[in-house]
Amino acid sequence: MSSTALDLTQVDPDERYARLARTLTDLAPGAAVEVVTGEPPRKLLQRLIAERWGGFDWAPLSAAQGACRGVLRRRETPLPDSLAAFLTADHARCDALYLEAEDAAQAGNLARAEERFRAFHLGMLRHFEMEEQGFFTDFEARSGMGREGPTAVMREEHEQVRGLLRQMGDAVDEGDLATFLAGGETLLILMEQHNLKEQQVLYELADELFGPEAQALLKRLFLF
Amino acid sequence: MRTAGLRLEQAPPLDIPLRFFVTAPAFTLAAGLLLLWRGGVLLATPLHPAALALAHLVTLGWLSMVMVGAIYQIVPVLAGVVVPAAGLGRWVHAGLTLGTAALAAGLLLGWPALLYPAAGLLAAAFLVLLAQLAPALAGAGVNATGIALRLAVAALACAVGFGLIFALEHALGHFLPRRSALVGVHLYLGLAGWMGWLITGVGFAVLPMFYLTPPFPPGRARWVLLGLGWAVLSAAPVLLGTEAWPWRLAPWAGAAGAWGVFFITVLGLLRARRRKVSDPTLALWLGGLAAAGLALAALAAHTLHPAPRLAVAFAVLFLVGGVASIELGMLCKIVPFLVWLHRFSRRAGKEPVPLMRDILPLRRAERLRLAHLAAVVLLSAAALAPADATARLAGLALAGSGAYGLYVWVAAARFRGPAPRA
Repeated sequence: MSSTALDLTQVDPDERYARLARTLTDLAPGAAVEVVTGEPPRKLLQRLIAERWGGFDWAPLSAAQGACRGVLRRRETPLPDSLAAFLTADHARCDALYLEAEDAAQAGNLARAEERFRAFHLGMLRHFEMEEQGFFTDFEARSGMGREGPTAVMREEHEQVRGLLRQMGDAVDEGDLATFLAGGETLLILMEQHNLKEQQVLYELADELFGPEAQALLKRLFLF
Repeated sequence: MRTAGLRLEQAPPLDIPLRFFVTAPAFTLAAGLLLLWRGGVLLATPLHPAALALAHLVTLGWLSMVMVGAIYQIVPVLAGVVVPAAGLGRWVHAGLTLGTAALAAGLLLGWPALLYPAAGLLAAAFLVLLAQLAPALAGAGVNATGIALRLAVAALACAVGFGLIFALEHALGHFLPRRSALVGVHLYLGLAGWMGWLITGVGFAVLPMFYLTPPFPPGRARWVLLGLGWAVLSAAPVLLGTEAWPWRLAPWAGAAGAWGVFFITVLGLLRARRRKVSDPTLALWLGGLAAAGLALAALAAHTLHPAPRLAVAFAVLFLVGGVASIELGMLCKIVPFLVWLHRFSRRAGKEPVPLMRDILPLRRAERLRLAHLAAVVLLSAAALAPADATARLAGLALAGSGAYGLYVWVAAARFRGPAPRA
């Protein structure tokens, strides 16, 4: 979990990368910091990927115009060239965000539930984009299975999850935490059985298929 | 590389698993009514034909009915393979339903003529099931769940084989030597093999999925499967080979070891789970595991001191307290999810759609659990302290929980709305 915040919007644009890189160096292994970037941090990330690949994790928490935020974590061990490891860890990260939202909703804390749900929602949409526009397309080409193979079903299930997330978002907007929690119960099973199929079948297959070439794809996925 | 036949669809059609799940409580109801009608004699003499009828209403009509329905659903999700010609599941369901009904009626009424069609229908149903599952499971993963599913299905085939021979014996007259030892082998195959491997194998995968626990450690899973394997494989040589009691405990020791490792691991996983929400399904899982532990204690006592009531206590605690509770817990998740997935998931987000909780309201799940618990407690009391009135009361409770289950699952299966409050 991020303990402190680094607000790069208060830093001179020319200095931002240096501050970010220094912050990463100063972090203890395994520790994380919340970074406010304001604008989408694509350029910062590209440079971080070029210079510090394998030593950090990045995940956005908000993509709102002018209020972009994310979590930068210093890795304890270098990132392996494994799509299975990376995408499975992202499933777990999204699960944890949902559980924080659920805990807050059960405690009746609407503001916290909403904030955590937005981060979770963003995380899920980003995960789906990483898969649909990055991983699946490469997988389809490499495996020769095209879009008719197992990825077709995964794309369809992503649509189902997106729909349910919209319904839960509407409930949160209306302050209806009971419907939000009921949606969450349905979502968890839908999401977990989907994740299980990906993790046990598709990702393992992908690691066999990509081998060390997974790294190039991983670098692209970091930018989503 | 395992790309050929790799399919991740939500197979099979909704009606395939649901027809098994809706039929099972009808057999619970029938078992309860039979006990209400015949009373304590059924629990006093376990090998009496009417007691065998009761036992098979429970093991085939109720518990295996749910397990077969679930396996059609589970194999594609957990093993990443499609069960071929899923539509044949409708015939398997018909064969299992009619075959079990004919078997129970034949035993109960003492009409051997009914046992031939019963054996034929059950043999056909299980053969079709095996023909569907064998090629699917051959392509499944080699993780603990995939291995457990294969072992469970193999044990089912052997248990059914023995069962068919016994059914013919009832019709033709006894011809097997060492019959009671062979019945023991049949029981180990059916209970430790088919039910034990299936429930633990499914548990490895669904406990993390339903309750967001850490993954089941593969090393522990291997010990659970090996313990059950020892129980199943040692049953025949031990039961047929010796009357000396320490040796007769050998297959039991495998089952008890497997249960111990599974139970302790599940408790640890639940303690470490990230999701703190508790619901009736979790209580059913834990209650079921605890009852299975008590059942094993009763079985050990029976091995040392063969009294019929200990055998009946084992059967009641293991089948109704253990297997049925865990099945009920899983059904409370699986049925509303499948109905939601097939009927509402595509409309979600475009319009407000009902959720799982609308399909199976929480209060219904809780009532189902309490009705089932009442039946388990009364059945255990009737087994351990035989009294005709207690047995009949337990039968009434079992019939009541079956009737309520029938109502709840039919309602869930028929649920198509209403549209929720927008």
